Amino acid sequence: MSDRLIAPGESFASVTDRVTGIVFDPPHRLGWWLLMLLALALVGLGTLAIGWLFVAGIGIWGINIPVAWGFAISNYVWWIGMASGGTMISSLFHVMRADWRSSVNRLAETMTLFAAACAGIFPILHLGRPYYFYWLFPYPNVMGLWPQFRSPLLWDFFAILTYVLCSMLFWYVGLIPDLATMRDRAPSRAGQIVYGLLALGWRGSALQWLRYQSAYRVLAGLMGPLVISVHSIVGLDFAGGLTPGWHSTQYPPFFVFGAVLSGFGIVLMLAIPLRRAYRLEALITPRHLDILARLTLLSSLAVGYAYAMDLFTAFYGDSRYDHDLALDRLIGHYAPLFWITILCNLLLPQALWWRRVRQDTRLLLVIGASVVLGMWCERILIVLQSLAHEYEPSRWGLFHPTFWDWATLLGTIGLFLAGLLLLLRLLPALSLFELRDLLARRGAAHG
Amino acid sequence: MSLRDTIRARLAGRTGPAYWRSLEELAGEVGFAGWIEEEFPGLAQAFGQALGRRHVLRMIGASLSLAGLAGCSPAAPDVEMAVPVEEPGMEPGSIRHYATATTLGGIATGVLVTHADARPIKIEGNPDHPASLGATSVFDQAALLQLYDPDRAATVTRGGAIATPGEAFGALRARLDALAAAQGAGLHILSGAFSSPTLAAQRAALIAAYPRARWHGHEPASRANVWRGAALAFGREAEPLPALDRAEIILAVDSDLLSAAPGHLSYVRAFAARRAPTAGMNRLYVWEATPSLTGAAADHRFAVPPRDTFRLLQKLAALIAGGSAGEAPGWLLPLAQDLAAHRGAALLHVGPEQPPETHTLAHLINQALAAPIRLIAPVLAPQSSDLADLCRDIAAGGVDTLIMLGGDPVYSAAGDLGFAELLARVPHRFHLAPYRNATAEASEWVIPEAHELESWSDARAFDGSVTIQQPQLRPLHGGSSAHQLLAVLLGSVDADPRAPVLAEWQRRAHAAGQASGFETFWQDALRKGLVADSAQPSLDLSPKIAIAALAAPPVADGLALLFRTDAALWDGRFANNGWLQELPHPLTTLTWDNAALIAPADAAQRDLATGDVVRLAIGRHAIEAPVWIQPGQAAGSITLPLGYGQVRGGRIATGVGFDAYRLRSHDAPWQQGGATLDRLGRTVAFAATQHQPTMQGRDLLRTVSLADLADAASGWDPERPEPSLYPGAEADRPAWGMAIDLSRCVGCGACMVACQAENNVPVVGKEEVQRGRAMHWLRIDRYYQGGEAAPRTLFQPVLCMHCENAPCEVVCPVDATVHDREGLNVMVYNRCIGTRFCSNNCPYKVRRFNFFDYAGAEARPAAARNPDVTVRSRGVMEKCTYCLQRIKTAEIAAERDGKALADGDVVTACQAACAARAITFGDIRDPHSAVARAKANPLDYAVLGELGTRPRTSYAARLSNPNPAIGEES
Amino acid sequence: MAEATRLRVSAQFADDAALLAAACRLRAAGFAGLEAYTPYPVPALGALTGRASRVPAIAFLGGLAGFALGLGLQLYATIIGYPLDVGGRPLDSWPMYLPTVYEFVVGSAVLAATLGFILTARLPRYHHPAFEAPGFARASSDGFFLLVGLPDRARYQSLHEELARCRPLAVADLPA
Repeated sequence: MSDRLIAPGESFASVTDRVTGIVFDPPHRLGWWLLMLLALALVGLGTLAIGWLFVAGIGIWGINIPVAWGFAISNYVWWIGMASGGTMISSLFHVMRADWRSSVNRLAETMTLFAAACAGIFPILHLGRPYYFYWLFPYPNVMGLWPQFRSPLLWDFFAILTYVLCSMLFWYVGLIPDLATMRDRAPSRAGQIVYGLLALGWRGSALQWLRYQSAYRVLAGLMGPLVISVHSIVGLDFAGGLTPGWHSTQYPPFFVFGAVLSGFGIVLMLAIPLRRAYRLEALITPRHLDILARLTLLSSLAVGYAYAMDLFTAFYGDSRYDHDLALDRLIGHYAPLFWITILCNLLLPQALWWRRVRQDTRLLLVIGASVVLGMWCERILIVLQSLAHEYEPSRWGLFHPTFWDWATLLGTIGLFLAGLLLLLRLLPALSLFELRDLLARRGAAHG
Repeated sequence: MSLRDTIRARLAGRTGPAYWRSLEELAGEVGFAGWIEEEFPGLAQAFGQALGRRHVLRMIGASLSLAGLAGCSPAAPDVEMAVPVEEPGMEPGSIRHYATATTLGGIATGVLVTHADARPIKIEGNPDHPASLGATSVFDQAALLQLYDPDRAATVTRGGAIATPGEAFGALRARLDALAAAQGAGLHILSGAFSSPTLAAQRAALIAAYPRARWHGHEPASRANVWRGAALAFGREAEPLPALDRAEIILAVDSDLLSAAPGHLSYVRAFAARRAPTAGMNRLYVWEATPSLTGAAADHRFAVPPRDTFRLLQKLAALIAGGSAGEAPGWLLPLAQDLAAHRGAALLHVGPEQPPETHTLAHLINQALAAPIRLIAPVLAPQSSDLADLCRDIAAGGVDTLIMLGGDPVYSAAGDLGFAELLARVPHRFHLAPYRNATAEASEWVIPEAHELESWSDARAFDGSVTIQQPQLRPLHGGSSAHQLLAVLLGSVDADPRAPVLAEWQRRAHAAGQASGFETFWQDALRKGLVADSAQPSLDLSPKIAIAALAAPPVADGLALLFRTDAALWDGRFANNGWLQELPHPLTTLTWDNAALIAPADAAQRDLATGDVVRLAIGRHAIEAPVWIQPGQAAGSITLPLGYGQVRGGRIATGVGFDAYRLRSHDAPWQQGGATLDRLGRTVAFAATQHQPTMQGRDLLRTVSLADLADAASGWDPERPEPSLYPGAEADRPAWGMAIDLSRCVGCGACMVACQAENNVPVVGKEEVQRGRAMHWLRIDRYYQGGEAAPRTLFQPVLCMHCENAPCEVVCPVDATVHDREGLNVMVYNRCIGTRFCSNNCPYKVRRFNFFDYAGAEARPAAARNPDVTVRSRGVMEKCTYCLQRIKTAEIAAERDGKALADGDVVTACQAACAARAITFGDIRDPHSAVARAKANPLDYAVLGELGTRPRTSYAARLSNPNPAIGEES
Repeated sequence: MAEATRLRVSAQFADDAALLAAACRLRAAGFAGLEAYTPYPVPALGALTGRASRVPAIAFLGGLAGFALGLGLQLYATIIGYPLDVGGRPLDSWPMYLPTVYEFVVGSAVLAATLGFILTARLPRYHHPAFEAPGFARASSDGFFLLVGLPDRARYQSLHEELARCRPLAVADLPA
């Protein structure tokens, strides 16, 4: 079946040209610049928002008591969730020896890097005194104090740290052979030097390939459990507290499901325009999209199960607090968010049962976008609605986002976009050597 | 640009003329620029951007009190004259208490002012004083902030231009000389209600010297109805003092018995003492048109429209007398029987808003019931003529010189008098002004009035007991007292603040032939804060009129407007006080606003929602006001709280709420009928601190009736603590705990302000409160039970529970909140990085967060703050500490004296302020400690105990004592 | 091994099969110091080198170290370093320490694996004789190269004959 993963008539050379061409002789220069300017504008807005945050304090956000966490934490969970998409695709499916990953994993991993970066910003910004975030590091300080290791926030801190670090290493190791290709094809001396340095002098000798493959297998094997632990811990940030609506044993898997769903969604959202813009249809084939669509459907069902369990336990259990909260989720002030979530994450993806939908890139794009939006609503809902209706009715209160809440969110979206666009022009968007591997095995198949 | 210039520049944009004048003068007087630099480096930034929020900037108390610096000048000479409660021998850093009194409407409450290094920083009740018994009201607590208020009038001005006190007094004398020939004709003096013997003597002397001079009294919240009622009943004016300790059945009619009546702190103490199953529990019935704290404390509360009150009371009288009432509500008969059955232990109390006839009727019924009530002569100095007379005199052109002693009559005069316009016709207008308020603006001469904590005076308590008020520091703005001003009128050359008071009491000593012992008497009176045996003797009066002969008062038909003093601002005199502006009103939880309280039924009928602005009109007078739908409000009546909507008088006071005085009528000050209400289609956003009216059926605030408690069948089972897997507390240290008795708490809020004062809790302003960022460490939840029309109102003070298994601590990633060895849940401010997870994880939501640099924006002078409590910076969490600083002070003292810490050595600020003694604090290890005994009470329970948090703060369920013949719900 | 040689011959082949065949042939002919360069991994060639990768073992050791460090750090900090009563929990609340330990384990294993790979793959090395081979740049795209090192000129001729039999695209002597 691997032949469906690469259009017939492609050769080593053609693949290389196609992919390196995006860097060395980029098409759509104007469109790229327009997008880049938009992204940079958003980054500017975000920088402004953050600057003002440091001057005035986090009071500029809509947070209050009882809703002491607002957009920042929701956005963080949203971004980190999408980040999982890349890791999932490139690690789990590598371990499963799934050929099809080859032409999308680079894209997915790069996306992961920036999504994780955007996610990482929020936990620091949301602090009342962000400039002291380093107090979370376990270093022997002047007071002889250590972090409080029982706090889910600290688990989270280590999880994110580990995740970002490992993702970068995983991504870089995956790049080394392709960096060598770039080195060898760079037209300019400067390019040759830079790529050369990054390629670490990779030669592709039999010995190196041997080490390389075993190392990559190990990394992939570790990244899978890591990404699952990360999202379980993110889930524990909530389940670890005794807030009604958070304090639930199913939260860790629930958050993993959600993360994976948004991960696949965002990959769809990126892969489809990309293959179109850079004529990669031959490499990112309908077959790829079909598999991504199936995975989206699967994770959508998983998330649906989690929603159902959430409500079921609330209504079946005897905690009146959970009961009231669940009811409020269905019909209360934040109910619209809930129903949008259901629509975007559960109902729309059901269209993917039909092959015709899975073949239609436009519809796929829409569904990809819808789950990304849906997951954002879900995160917001979980954070706001639960905090707004805790144990003491006298303390019930709502959250109203301010301009600065939105500005910060848009800022990170800009950062994400800018990063992707930049790397698109600097690094091979697809994993060249894996494509060659595919081609070679196809050739072998033909005898 | 020097610091001082910076300050000027920054201030210029932001403040009224009064402000920079005071700056100018201070700068001239005590070269304060350099002074600030040494005392408060970096103070300039206090004027800085600070949140960029109008209100927060406008916080008084709050905003920078440059003048307050005077308070920390090491040599505050008056303090040497003042006499401390403890024996002398004061070392640096030591805390001392000075006795004095605060007054409200002229009536005194004895207080002890806490000084840290000769700076007043806190006010406590005076245990020896009958009106305080150690407790304080919100107003007593907030007096401290008032003292340091930088917006107080600070300079003598003539027509707005700066002048000197010498010139002002000179001008006064000039007028006097001019009028002397005509025996003072044309000289008019306007004062508030006062009980000061000294002032009374000075007034007498003045009238003696100038027989044709006139003295007018004006008190917006006058108790005249009470005295007239007594006069009608007994032939002479009198003030009834109910002995609640002997009352088993109480009927309060539109009563302020537990909220604002003179001596209410002592009434609350006596009432609460009998809200226990052990103490022969009393039963309180309340009829009222608008919900009050008294109504909230009732076992049976009936919303009775004002027009029905008198008629119902007549029927009640008939029933008590054994007659028949004709057609009457079902609960009236059981009520009458209950009263009659407790002859000698049943009493009626009627609020000052009811017309004299109602009071008369109540007096007669009380007589019939042999009610435990003492009648005394009114303690306030009698006022032969009032503001209306003054207006007439002005209209007749007979007023040449008007001297207004304190207050803000232009603002607080009833709208229909048109006093503001008339005042302009008076050629010579002098105002002894507390603030540059509307009256000051309308006066030719403005002389700043010294705060009562700055001046020598004397005042009577509700029972007549006299306190000699001693200054706590030199007048911050160099103001003068009414006594000084009158002394000048009486021809004294120097205006020694103490002389008039001293002279008066020396005269009295001579008259009593005790001149020899005067010095000891004086010292003793000052130290105790009380003149021994100065209480008013009881009057033995018998009815002069029969119930039948009593004519009904005119009833207000149509939509009735009820004018009421405000729970936070009273008559408006506290409008510039940040603590009181931000104090949630007990029933509405409204801050920074007043609202027209309307009954749910009326609102539904007129399709009004809370926040809708309406136009209220009576005759040609009209105001615009936002409505608040108030459960329990009597249909057909709208309550308008006074004191808001001021246009002059400080940065906080102005532009907050609406001014109900404009609709007020001098002849019917408390209620008027025939009002019209039109909806304007606008709405305003209120800043309420609680949005959910009910408990949602949750088990947070437990109630039980005496009957249910008695019979085991109904099964009130005392709760046992949840088992825990975690290690217990250490045995070798005290284990601090608190017990709060919900049966005693009346929800007055004194604990909230006391906590705010003690712990440097910042004021955040209206916008921030709207955002849900109020900072009170201690809050009072208010829950309604039952229907909107006649709900039961329940109060629950909530502060940090100091859980033994604190959920907040477990989720803090940086050890910023941990347990200490005495079981306190402590906040380490400088370790906090502000994740706020602790707040999310606190089921009681008692944690408060500094979203902005609130304390910095307040920029209260350090002088006004409690030096023992850290001022919190931006981005850190804070919460109740059980007054850790008081615990440590007591422990250090005990250690120094080599004694063991005794039960009662540690008293938290909230506990000290509570008149009801609802709060008990101490070491729960010691089975004999008060708190341990309180927790042993079968009614004791832990809120949300099922979560396994093991709170150290527990509550005693609220006990009610309904009349079985009526049943709880009605 | 290549270091010890004085002269090197590079041969380019059409595809991995040809390269593999040539490699086997030369090896059979007793030529040591063979090095094959391919644009993608060719497991068979890897097998020829006859060496196994030690990366998994290194990663495992890294993981163990992470476990020790993670758990040790937390136990020390909470029991010995600065014991505090936090929420009434016992000082050694080890179950609550496990998530952090887990992250320590994975993190250090990944770090170890990456470093292990870079070292055992003899990277970074920015200069290597192979780069002298004509057209070697294509080795990272579609070129298949075999590099043979000779200790001396003794078998130079026979090497060329052997290579010629493998039908290479090009053969070149590299400057020593």
